[in-house]
Amino acid sequence: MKSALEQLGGASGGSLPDVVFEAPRATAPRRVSAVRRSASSAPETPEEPSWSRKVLGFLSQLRLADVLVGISLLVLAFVLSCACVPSLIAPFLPTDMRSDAILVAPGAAHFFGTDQFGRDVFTLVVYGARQSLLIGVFAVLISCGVGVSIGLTAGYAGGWIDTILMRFIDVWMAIPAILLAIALSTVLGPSLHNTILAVSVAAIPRYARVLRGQARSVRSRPFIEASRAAGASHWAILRRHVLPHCSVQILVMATLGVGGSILVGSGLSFLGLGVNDERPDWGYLLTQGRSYLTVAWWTVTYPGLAITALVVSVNLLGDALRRRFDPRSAPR
Amino acid sequence: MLRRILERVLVSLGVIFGAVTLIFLVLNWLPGDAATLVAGDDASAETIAHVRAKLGTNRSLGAQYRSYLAGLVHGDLGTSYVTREPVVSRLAAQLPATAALTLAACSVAILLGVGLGVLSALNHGRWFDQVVQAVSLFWVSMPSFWLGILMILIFSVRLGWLPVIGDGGLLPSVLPVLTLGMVVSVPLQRMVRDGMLEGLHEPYVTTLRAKGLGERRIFYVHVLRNALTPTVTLLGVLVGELLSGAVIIETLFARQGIGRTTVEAITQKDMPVVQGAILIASVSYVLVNLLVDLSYNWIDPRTRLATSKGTR
Repeated sequence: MKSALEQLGGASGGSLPDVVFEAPRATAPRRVSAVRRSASSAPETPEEPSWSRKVLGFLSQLRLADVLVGISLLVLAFVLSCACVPSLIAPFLPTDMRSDAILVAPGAAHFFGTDQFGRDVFTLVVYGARQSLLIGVFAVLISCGVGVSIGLTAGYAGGWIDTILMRFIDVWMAIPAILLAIALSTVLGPSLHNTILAVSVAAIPRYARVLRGQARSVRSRPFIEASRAAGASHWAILRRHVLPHCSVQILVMATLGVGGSILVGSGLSFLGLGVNDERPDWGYLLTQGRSYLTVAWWTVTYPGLAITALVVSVNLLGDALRRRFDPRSAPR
Repeated sequence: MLRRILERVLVSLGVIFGAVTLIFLVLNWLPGDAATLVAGDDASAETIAHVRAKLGTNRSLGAQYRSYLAGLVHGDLGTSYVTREPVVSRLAAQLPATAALTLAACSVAILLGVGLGVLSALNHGRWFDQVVQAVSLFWVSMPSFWLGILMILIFSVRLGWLPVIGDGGLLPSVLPVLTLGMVVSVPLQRMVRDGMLEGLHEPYVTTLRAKGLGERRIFYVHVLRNALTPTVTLLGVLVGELLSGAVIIETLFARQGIGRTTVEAITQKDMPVVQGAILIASVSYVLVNLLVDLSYNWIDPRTRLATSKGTR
């Protein structure tokens, strides 16, 4: 359902002007440098005409979709390095408060400006990457694991097991996801663990529904009956045959799910139910900046931009995976 | 036909009952004692015991559940811990605002979604289509409150066209409705677009062409109608998104409504109100999906055939 930019690349194969094909090389580093503002300039084209022609030839073979995937990977790599080693990337410490630099507009000293405490917004965004990424990845691991187990069991077993599990999922789905996450985090209290738990519980039904359908269609294939006849246990069939047949679907859903989880997690932070002040995630930064909206647009704009860049990248990757593996959406 | 309707209604009632139970369990069974929350962390043991007895939370979970259900049947959702007024009247006062917001946003979403979907399908592969696809990718990848904040920054702070916040009146509602509608329109737009592109390759289109029908008529009457059928199902699912979105949008724009009441109740640890609000959202979700399910008979003649054969 959440296909992102599905046919943008596929359709535009050869019809775009060359300018667009050259864009990848130019945009890829520029994207990163826009975030880092490091003075890295684009690689110089050497004098040899043959070499540059080779590069041009290579570039003109790239489809827009591949380019987008490349950019997404770069963004992901950058966010990942922010999450792993923020101190190497951020120019300041997230705890540095400077009373002489409160709500300073973006400039040479602070690329993203400073917040109401005189903290460097860029530094805060870099340090927030870890929280947001942790929420996205772990929420998907949990929800995907549980949802896939429920879905596969229901679809493969069929009969009353299927009925009971799916009725349960119906009920689960009847509570809108964010509201369920709100209810859970209200009871559990705000913290990173609880945010992850709340986000993943709310996301489980979707995986279960889709995987149940997949498992049902696999179950009716002759080779399942053959393995049963050959004496394979149900567990072995589920693990060796049904699960591998659904793996592409799982991969695509999980990739797209990372984006969704980050969004729900940031929504919880916005409502004051998410990660606390000590290690602010992007959603929390955004919420903080909201009070200074009219005087300091940068405090809300950059954290939001970070969320969006990450989620767009994840969605693009998910779509690329889908296009790659799903024969139905391939040519259009 | 009547049997099918009855069956669907019964199933929906069952789901509502299940949702009531699930919400009750989540909010009452999980760690976190309501009495401690109401009395405050530094309250003495006696005070807490007193509050507990007053709230009725010293009874067993089963007993609490029974009395909650009994109240529910009589239209009683409990009493707010904070304001001591009945939850029903508190939420009922907020319902019109939220209903108006979600309905307006839903209309915007349908207009935008179907409109852009049809136009992108018509211009498939051309720049219009590509721009719509690119923009919609960003719309779904933004937190809805950030989209709202950006709209405030652009239209209220920079351009000064619209007020930032405020209740009632048409003008302050423009941004909230637009924001919520834009977020929900994206899945609709994609479904309509993909549905129409797929539909154009179906054999019946060839038949219609052979019959001498104009392209316009084929496109707008036949292909569009077929593409809209699954869109109605999607709309049912999107009601959940609308209701979830309303919580965030109402908070962001400081509007009256159930969503904001929920968030306020959460910060005050006013569990009966939270419980009631989530219950209302779930019931609306189930009811809308029941309607969607039943409307299929009327929208898509094929399901009529299928049900009479008993395949569904």
